[in-house]
Amino acid sequence: MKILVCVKTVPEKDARLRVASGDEWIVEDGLGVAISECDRYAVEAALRLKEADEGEVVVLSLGGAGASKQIKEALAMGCDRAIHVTSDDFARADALTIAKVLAAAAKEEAPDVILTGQQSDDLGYNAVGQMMAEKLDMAHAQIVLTLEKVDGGMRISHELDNNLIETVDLSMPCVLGVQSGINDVRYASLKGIMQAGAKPQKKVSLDDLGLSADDLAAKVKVEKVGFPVKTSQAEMIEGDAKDAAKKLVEKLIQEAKVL
Amino acid sequence: MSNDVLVIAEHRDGAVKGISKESVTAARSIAADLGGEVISVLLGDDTASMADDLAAQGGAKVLKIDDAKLAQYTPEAYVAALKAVIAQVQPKLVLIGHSYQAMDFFPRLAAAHDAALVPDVTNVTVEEGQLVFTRKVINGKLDARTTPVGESTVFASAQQGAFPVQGADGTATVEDFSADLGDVATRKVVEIKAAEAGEVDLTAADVIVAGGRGVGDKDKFQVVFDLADALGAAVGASRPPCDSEWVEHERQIGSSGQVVAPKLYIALGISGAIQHLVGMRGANCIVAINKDANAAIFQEASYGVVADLHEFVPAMIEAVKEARG
Repeated sequence: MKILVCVKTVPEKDARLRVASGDEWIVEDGLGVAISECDRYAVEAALRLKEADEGEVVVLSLGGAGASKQIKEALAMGCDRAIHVTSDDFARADALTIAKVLAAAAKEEAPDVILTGQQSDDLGYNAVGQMMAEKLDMAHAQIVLTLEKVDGGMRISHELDNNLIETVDLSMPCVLGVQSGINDVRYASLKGIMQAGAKPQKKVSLDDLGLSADDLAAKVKVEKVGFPVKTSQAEMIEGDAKDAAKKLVEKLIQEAKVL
Repeated sequence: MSNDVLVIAEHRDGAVKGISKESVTAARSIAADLGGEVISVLLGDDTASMADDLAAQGGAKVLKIDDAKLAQYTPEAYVAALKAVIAQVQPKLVLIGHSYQAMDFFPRLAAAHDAALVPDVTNVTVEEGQLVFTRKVINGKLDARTTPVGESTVFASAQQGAFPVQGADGTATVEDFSADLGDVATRKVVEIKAAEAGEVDLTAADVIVAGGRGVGDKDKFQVVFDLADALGAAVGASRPPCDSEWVEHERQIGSSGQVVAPKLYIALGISGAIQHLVGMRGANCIVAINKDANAAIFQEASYGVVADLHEFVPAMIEAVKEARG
């Protein structure tokens, strides 16, 4: 079975964000980055699918030169080879444009299963895998919790609503959007790290994928970003730990009357 | 193309979902600004009474599609039926509540139209006839002003709770719509069941102390239990501590866990991802302790402290003991 897993490089969860001048986007220089959280679980799920059956796991990533480190990390975890679609132009791209690029790269590989994280930590669309499936005319399921190969396809369970879990059979090839927390993500072993450098990494440009300017015309534009204007009446309590703790407890007892 | 807003309404257990009523409320205001009408659509095999309930939410029209192929949700049948509706209505905007089920099929529907998709929006305005959306990016920390390019139909999903339901001033008319689903091949649904309930029921707790990723690790999570002990509170968590098995999964609060509404909710090291917020927004009083002054959780809080929780919580435990004598 050939498994393609999509991995995105995003700002680290606790990265200190600064808005760039002109408010168009964040300052990316010097920002700590990591594999998007759900994607790590997708990589683990891909490796387990391969281990339960046989075949290969190909990691696919769209991003600038900075994404190389995360691609190498996925290879060190056990992915067999990588395709890096190199472009710096997708930091604020809309879901459909990203999906078209990834679908074009996936098409050449003709995988049996495509795994994505259900949602990226940066743009948070929760949509790219679904849109890839539509463009590739494949079955799809989102917020996937369990997945196993069965005769003729994949049996998966996924969250369909609050606390409601649906099990369905999908034909292959299919695209699955993986929820976080569904498995214990392995760490790269020392051996894995040593081997990663020697694994095939193909760099592909948008031209190589035969995508026209028309294909890549943005459908949606992020015009501006900014820290939210405070809408709640949160009262910020200042002081050192001891003073602040004392003030807070007083307020909870006397003002809010909840203690 | 019309200036109308098409709302895709969802239902579960024979009732229209609350999030779908929120979408109708949002759509009424957007349609008024666009100079169009609100048309809602309901898919199922026995939707008559739900259609009446939906019609009472206002708007001009409710289209109900009753078809055996829609008795159970499948993305294949939903997308096929909705394509037929969109082809007839030619809406300016297709709006749905950002539910898990919606995310299963809605992006696919947008891609089938090669159209703009703006997911999980928290605000929608109309400026000079153009739709302008606000949505959260970078783990919910930033608001992004987001606009569709071009003139074709736009697809957007509305964040749960962002558009509180407001009573309607009129009732929509209900009409039948028929879509030819004869050739649609649907997937095989093996079963649908409720997630196994854990032994921890947080919904009855008056006071909850919850920890997030910022607590640090499994050993450090003890501090959450310590504060809960001092307050006589229950212990909850956002998703990351459960995923990392610092605490049991059944303590998870949020869209994949329990939905709680205690008198007091103390969030320790929780950044405030929307998936968590939807599970605890109903609390009377929310206290947030976080070292990141920009954490989204402070937007929800009544009281906030920017501090290292491992310094603050021991001091708070002392203060509680002192105050209670």
